[in-house]
Amino acid sequence: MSELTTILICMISAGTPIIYALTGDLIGQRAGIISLSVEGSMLCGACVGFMLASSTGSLLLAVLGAAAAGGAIGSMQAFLSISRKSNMMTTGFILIFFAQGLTTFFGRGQLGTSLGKSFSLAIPGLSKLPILGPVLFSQDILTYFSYLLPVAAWWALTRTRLGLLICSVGERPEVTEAYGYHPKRLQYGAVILAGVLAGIGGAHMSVIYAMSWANNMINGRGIIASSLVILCSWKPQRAYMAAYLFGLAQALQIFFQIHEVPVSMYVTLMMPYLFTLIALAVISTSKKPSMPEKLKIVT
Amino acid sequence: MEPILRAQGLTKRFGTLWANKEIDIEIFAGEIHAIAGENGAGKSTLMKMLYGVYRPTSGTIMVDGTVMERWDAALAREKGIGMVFQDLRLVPAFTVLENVFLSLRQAGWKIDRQQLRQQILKRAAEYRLSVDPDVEVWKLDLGQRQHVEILKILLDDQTRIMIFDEPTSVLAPHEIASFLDMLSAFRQKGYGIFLITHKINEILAVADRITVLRQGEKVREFVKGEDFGEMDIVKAMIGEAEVRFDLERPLPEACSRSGALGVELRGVSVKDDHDRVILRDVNVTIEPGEILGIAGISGNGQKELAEVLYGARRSCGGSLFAGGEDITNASIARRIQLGMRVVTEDPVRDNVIPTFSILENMALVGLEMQCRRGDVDWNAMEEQLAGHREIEDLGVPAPERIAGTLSGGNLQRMAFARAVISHPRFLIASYPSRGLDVATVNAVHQTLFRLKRMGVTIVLISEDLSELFSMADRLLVLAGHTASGPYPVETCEQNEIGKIMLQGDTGYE
Repeated sequence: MSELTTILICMISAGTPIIYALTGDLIGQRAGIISLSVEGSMLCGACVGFMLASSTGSLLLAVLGAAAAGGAIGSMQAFLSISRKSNMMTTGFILIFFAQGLTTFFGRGQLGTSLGKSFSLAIPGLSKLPILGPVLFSQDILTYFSYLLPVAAWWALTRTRLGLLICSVGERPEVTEAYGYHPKRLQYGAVILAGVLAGIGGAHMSVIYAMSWANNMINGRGIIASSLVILCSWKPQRAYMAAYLFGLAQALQIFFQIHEVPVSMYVTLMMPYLFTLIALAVISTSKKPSMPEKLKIVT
Repeated sequence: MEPILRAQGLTKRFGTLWANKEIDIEIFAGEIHAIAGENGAGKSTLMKMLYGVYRPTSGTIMVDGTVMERWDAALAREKGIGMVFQDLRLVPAFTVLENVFLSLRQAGWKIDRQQLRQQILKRAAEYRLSVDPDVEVWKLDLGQRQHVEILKILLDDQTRIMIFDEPTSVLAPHEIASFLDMLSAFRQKGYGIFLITHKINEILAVADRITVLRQGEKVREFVKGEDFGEMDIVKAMIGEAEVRFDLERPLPEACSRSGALGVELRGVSVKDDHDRVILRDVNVTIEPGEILGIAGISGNGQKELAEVLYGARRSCGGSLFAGGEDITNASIARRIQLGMRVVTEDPVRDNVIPTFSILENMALVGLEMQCRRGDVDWNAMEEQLAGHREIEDLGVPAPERIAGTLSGGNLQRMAFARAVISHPRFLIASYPSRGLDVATVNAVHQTLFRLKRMGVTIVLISEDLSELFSMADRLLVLAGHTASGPYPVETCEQNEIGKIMLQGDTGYE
């Protein structure tokens, strides 16, 4: 396997959890709620997913459990920031620390155990393609699904009534209400969905990528995903670009370390943030309103 | 012929206020029915009941001759009633097509862009609406946005009745003629149209029937072909406002003019929040010590004029002078130094800090700071406040009350009292008696006269002709993007002023 292929495989694997959390939070942000708590959802998803995968050996159960755990954190965020109108940033951070404590406590039995089972699933035929084959198609089912997720979100948000309604809530909830829909229900749905998707992304981290559980193993990826939404200018089709940019930085960092390239790992890890900062600066000056209006009030 | 919609004895009460009282109204297919009346006459309330947004306190609504047991917005739409609201209901970030899709429930759960685009273009061509389905709404001006609103109603096949709430208020003068032509085209197609407006020339141009409301009651109905004229409608709308004789105008000799500040406007033009010129080339000299009344239907530039005088808004042409000094570009601080004070039309928003107590708000402006050992001496401040007799006259609540918890009327009293005790030389009072009870209104008027005697120039903005005629020395009328007058109160008739107010700006012939 060439080194390029290795870097790319690593990029895809590291980017997959980000795609889940990023797409989820993007939908939530379109409805006007930022869920920093996707970090917590990922942690809970990783912990519950790993427990179920190691005890039952079923990936399906692990994913379902992770989705439920992530959704639970998401519904707390939803309740507090929609029904209780708490500050969504603060709420998100508190939920992250809450999830850290929770998973550290319940995951302590899992520390140091290895899954001993790989859920990789190469697609026959396609995986034999040069370079692209091993990079894209010798992954696992969650990764394959993540290829479709942003496109599906794009389609739903721009082509269906439900999607447009979600976006309208983030823009003008009073208009949504005037048409006889329920802005709060739509927000709840979007924020819980963000938690569910982030939970699945967390399961990918523990069950497939690391094949083990470690305390606080998400290590900021959820917060990164939440801020990468800005880099995508709230357009789900750009999630690939943002997530794999992050994945590439991770892959390069490992590569540089192995090959003792004199570039500090911190410099490579900094890149996605730098891009996001530039995006922030550019977005605020561009005339076209890509940011949902409701977010302008809180950010 | 059976009317599509008929309402009988429609009544709406908000607490003790009768917004609508025993109103009978009906509409036939192919008719333009104008609802005329001043602001606050109850036009919008009536239409909101017909559209199902408000539940009537009493009265019946009949559709096609059948009494409706239940009536709400969803049912109203089902029965074919569409409304174009004053605050246009659109999502700016969405395209025209997406906005139309959201409003059409029968369009299904998935957008068929191709088909919807075609429908939109077809309807737009039919009525010469200038609408590009794929442009985002935030790029459109207000007139184009109104076209989108109308399209939403037209594309709903059930629509039989259209309600337009002050539709021409968002249009530029040259757009109004084609808008009225469009209404006539809708009439030809057999739609029943309610047109809410206070502009007489629009009514005369298109209406088949005119219902005039005043203070929540239906006062007259005119039918096209009957013998009536512009003045009849004006009279019905404004009624005979009585001049209050219990208020004694201060005699000119009793007024000291030495301290008062005169302000002169030379060719001042002002833009509104939508960046359109709302007042053009205003020339007026506000004499020291006079009360200049600003008459006009609200929304004709009163707020903008007050803001330009006070310096909260820049004029887009012309210059202002205060006591000979050019203050066109002077800061608000400089104006305050010159003795200019303001009570805005919305004191809750503009004049107080809601979490502060009345005393603290008064300490910010108005009261003189009194300190003891480097700290504010609140006891002394409170005494100082109690020493001003306006506080009691105006019924300002206790000084420790938190401003944000007060009612609108109480806040108005507070803001007014504060402006009065802060040694003004020039006071702009926007609707100072709006929402207050009779006794307080009386106290406000007495206070204004006392200020006049003390030598304060007052600009009194009001919609209440009776108040203006009782208080002002001269009247400036804002209508049709300009200011007419000032007219001395002794030599002019209320009806004349009313007519200028209601003239509209269009010259639609």
